Amino acid sequence: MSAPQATWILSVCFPDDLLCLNRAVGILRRQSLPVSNVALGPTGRPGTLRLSCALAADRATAERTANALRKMTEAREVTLHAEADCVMREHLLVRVRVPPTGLSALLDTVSLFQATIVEERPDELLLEATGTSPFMVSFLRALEPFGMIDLVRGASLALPLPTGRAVGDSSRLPAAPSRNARAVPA
Amino acid sequence: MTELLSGAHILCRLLEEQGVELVFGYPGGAIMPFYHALPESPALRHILVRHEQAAAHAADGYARASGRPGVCVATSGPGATNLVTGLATAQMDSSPVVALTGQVPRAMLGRDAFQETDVIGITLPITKHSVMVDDVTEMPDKVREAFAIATSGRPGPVLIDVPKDVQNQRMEWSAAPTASGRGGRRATGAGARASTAVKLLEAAQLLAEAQRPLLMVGHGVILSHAYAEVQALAERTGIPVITTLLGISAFPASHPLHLGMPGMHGEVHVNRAIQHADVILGIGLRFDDRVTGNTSAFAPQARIIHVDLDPTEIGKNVPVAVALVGDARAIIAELLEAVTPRRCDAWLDEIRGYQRARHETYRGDMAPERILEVLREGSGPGTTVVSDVGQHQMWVAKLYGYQDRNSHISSGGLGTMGFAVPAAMGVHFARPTRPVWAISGDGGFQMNMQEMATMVQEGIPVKMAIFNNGYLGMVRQWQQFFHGRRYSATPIWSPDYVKLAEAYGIAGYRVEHAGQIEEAVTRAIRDPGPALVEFLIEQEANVFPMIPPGGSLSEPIESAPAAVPAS
Repeated sequence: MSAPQATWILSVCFPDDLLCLNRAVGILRRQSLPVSNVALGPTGRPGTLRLSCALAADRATAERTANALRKMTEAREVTLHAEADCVMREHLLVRVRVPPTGLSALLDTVSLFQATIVEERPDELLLEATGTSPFMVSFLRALEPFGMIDLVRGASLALPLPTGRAVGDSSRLPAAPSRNARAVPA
Repeated sequence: MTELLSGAHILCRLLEEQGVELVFGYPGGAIMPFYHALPESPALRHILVRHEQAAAHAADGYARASGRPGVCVATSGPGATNLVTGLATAQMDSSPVVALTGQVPRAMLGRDAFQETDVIGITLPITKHSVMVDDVTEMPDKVREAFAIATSGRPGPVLIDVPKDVQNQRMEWSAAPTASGRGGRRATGAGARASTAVKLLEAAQLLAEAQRPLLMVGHGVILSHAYAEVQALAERTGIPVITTLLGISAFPASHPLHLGMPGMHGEVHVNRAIQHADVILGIGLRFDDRVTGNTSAFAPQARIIHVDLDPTEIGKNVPVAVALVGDARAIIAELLEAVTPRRCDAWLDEIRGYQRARHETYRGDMAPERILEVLREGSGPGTTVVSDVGQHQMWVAKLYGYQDRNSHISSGGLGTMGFAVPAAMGVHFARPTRPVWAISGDGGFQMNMQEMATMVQEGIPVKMAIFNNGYLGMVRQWQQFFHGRRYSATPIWSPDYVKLAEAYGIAGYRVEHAGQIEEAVTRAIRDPGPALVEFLIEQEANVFPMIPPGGSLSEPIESAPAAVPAS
């Protein structure tokens, strides 16, 4: 019987250098595992990058992968957390058509999902939103009828929660799908 | 005092500073400034190999035999790519090799310049570390760091790529170190020590309570020079000892507690002991698949205590009850104080009951046992045997009977054919007054036999033995057992090795029957220079027993299957 699978958030910090990034990606690739949501960005420490990704694997495999990254000479920190113990956010920029008679409906959707209007034109809006992956799926589904011209969506950024307690802001948005929701609303 | 020196001169000074005496290499365009500076460092002896792969293997052999980093040098492009197999071999077997490669000038990088390859990119997954010196001012720190990384913690190969214009850049050089190299990252805090103390007690308790304990000894015992400590532990507890392929010669073969080699070609009684053991203390081994067979069926009753310097090895292949992370010598010395003296006579009797007579039958009288017996008796104590990869490797591992510490060297993890001859050259320089045998099959020998020229030019008196069966024997054995005896691409023609040796100016002997073994071996050993002995062994000799790939250690093949027509 195979070990139970779970989603893990694996994160490695290393010097802000392409060779280090190349090495880290190479180690991950070599494990030949389903890796998704690869995200890269600066950390609070100057000159240090954080590469994080989601890994679908059993615990032993996830730990073996983290250990492989720890062998990288330049690795400054490697952490592994169950997805449930992390807060995760995606970032989205999307250009949406403004239908001749649909501006009001579009603005309602923007308001419902707490998106920000970055730029306004007579026939299109550039919107910005952050939230969990299911939240983004819901938002994009809601925008589909208007017609999306272009979009860019960042991978999930993840930070482990200090207490493991879920942090949500759903109380502020009782009527809308929470941007922190873990499940896609029906 | 400071001097204005080129990067190439500084590189040579840094090698001297690191205690390097020997460099195996091959010049070329992008490494020419280094070779221009080299004669000004007479402390650095350069050995001109005939192929860069041999330079990496020779550096590896030197490192394994001496415990000091081995250095190889190549030019950019094909020179650098030819090092790759040797670096991967060193990586798999934890050998401290430092490779220096020339690179095209910085302004040409990324333009597909002549002999440009991204050797850093190519070697990322097969080195412990790899680095490009982007400016001469980085040279001292990067070279010192490379040597520190190669030798600290679990050793491994490090590649330093130096663009040609950086080799020509000048800077003020002072012999005083500008920065200290980084050391290994070991847990040395009080918390770690306390945790280790608890685990040592747990391990000692497990060993005291065990009815059927085993010690499994790997390469880590040789790397940490834990020979005396391991032997003392075995003798204090009476626990039988198993040595993995790279652990052979970490424990005397003739010791009454020594059982032999485990795994795919391990003896039946060794593997059966593993399958019946209730506690296994593994020291400096990684429980790789050639040792364990099917891991889910490996040692089903055993609780495993794993001692390893590399924390990532713990639990990687087999579940571990107690993990002791650190230097094997230090940990076993502490464990020695914690264990209760005991004997395991009943368990040893049980294991002796598992022993089987060998099933190998050889037509004629050229049995590997006989050849290796004559080699051992003729060469005497202090001899190092370097084996290649294949059937002969298993015979050499199991039948030679190694008494001297670290006297058996082989490519274990990567299984690199062509390793023995160049690696033996490196071993010679680490042990210049002691005999060195390079034992190969006819396939592996032909992969790097050009190094006979290096031996002649540099005066390297390695003795070469070829077990010639006219086949790529191990692959042929698999074809016989698992592929319906379809010998696809395994029959291999050989040149006349005696004439070939003569062409190189080397004494060569052919042994066609057992009556010739002793004389040929004796004459080869007496020859002051390199010598070659070809043994014409039975063509379809097999290595028994054999655990089928992915099979359980409980199910050995002990005789060849009946001939089945190829489907």
